[in-house]
Amino acid sequence: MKRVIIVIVCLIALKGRAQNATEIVRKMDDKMRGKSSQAELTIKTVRPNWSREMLVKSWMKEGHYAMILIQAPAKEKGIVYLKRKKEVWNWIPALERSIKLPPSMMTNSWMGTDFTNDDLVKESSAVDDYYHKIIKDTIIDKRDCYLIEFLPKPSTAVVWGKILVAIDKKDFIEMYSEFYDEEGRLINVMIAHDIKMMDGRLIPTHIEMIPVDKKGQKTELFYRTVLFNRNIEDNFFTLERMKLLN
Amino acid sequence: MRIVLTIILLLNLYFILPAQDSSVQKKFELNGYIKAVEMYRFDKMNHMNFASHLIHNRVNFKWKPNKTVSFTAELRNRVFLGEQIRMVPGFVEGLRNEQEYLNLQKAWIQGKDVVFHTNIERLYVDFKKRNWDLRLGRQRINWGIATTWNPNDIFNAYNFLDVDYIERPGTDAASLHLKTSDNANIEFVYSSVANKKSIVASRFSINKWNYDFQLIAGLYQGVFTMGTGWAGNIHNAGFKGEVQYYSGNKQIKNLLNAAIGLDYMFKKGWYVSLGGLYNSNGINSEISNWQNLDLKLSARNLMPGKWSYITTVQKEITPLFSAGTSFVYSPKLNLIIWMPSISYNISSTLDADLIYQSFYLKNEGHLTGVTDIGFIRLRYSF
Repeated sequence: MKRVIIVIVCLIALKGRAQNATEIVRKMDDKMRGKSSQAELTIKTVRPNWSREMLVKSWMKEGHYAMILIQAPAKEKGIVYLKRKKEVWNWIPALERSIKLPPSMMTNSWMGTDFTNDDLVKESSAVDDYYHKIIKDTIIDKRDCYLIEFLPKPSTAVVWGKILVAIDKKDFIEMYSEFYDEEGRLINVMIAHDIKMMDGRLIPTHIEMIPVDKKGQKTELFYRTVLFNRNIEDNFFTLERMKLLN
Repeated sequence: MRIVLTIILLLNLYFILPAQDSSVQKKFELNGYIKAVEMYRFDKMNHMNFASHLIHNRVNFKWKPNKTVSFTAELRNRVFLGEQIRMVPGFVEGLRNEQEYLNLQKAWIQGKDVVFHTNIERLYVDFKKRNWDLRLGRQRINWGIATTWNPNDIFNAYNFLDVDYIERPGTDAASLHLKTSDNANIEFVYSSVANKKSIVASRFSINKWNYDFQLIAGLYQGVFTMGTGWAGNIHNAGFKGEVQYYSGNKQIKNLLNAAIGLDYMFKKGWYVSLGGLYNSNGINSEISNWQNLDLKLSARNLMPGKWSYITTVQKEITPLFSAGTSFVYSPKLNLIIWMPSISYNISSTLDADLIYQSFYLKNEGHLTGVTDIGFIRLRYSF
């Protein structure tokens, strides 16, 4: 799950000929981060007996900076998460104050979803933190894909023991992923749906994150708008601007 | 004041009207909540138990005619029903926020069993430019950065026991915020308080070595004040603190308030926070009469005891259901406050809370339950 954010943002179309596994992943990664991205999305948390929807707006830049603004539901409206390199703050409009989050909070669930705080604002690299190997060719949703194995490099502190990722050969879209723990147990499955052109790129606009051992539980992302590579200055990602987003 | 009543009515009607077109929605924003609160107080010393009922409505309105200027108005309407109106002496007068300069409150109804009270909690105009922000009017100036107790939060009467008032009171002020770099800024505030001298203070904030630091200096109602605060971490735990000093004069003694705290989020939603507070003018001995204890907490009096410690444990049982408990202890004074709570998100707009506060005082070797207060609260957010 640690790498989910990479998966989420890296669903990018790129015409080109892949030479090896790392090259393929790099193409995804280069495109996914771009210089920046801005998105409006609905996050739906599904549990066996209930579900909740959240509307959020996000700004991300080069993996170092992120800002997430909650727009709905009413009670949480205006709450902002800001990440600058290794620090994360929370702006609570009702209190009119920012709270610096302890690092230990990062591995816990983000607002009740199947994502952690870390997933949303992680500074990490799908390219640099893993060794990559093409396992086989596969077909997902009528698209020819490479199935690539991600194994974490010993020097990096990552949660997953292994990730299997199916990447579309033509458009370099991450179609499907399996996340395994260090004992080799399958923990989460991520499935991409509704591939559409957004801001000139072909990306999945509906993504499901499903914990496999929790029946009836998942988190779904529905992208409403996405903009890539618009200029966002570094000083947009500051405490000052966080307060002014509302 | 009839105009104010009309405004309240109109603002509350707004959210049941059909949605406006998007360009209008961008300029006007309206949100808030309506809460129904049932409170039960068990006064164990005087054997007086009573129940009270409260309808609490907050309306937050913002108008942004352009990128530079915005207007904010926030109202708090409360209807109190029940015995507390008769049993608490000066009940209506006590609803007035003493930190405000202008009297913008009104008790529309003052009966024996019912009080309808409105206060304009925020009323300010804000001018924003790239590197500065000027705010004039009733506003919340929140300088606290630590977790439970905030000695640096000098502009507001602060009471963490007031569980139904997370927004905290506002203050009538002019504030100027200057950004000096991406990591640093400086703020100047002038604030006026009715029947008291004004407060003039500035704060310099900087982010360095993965810590937020701040320095505060000013004149606080005729005495000099200075303080500092930090928010950072030790390994994976949050490490925060604030210190504030007030000089004395003929009437009042020097005062030092200092708070320190650690917090940590364990796996599976367990959150633990530990904190300590030093109040140099606090009580450091047993007291014989509970009534002598000043629990009307303020910026200068964050806790009545000289030393206070707090442990808070919270657990997210499901994303909709969480439980927590806080345990406050002031040694020597021997005051114990135990505050368990549970909260449940019934739907995306409806929340329910159960909050309990239990006060104990040790006197002549005996730990005595003084007062218990229970709250049941239902909140509808819009």
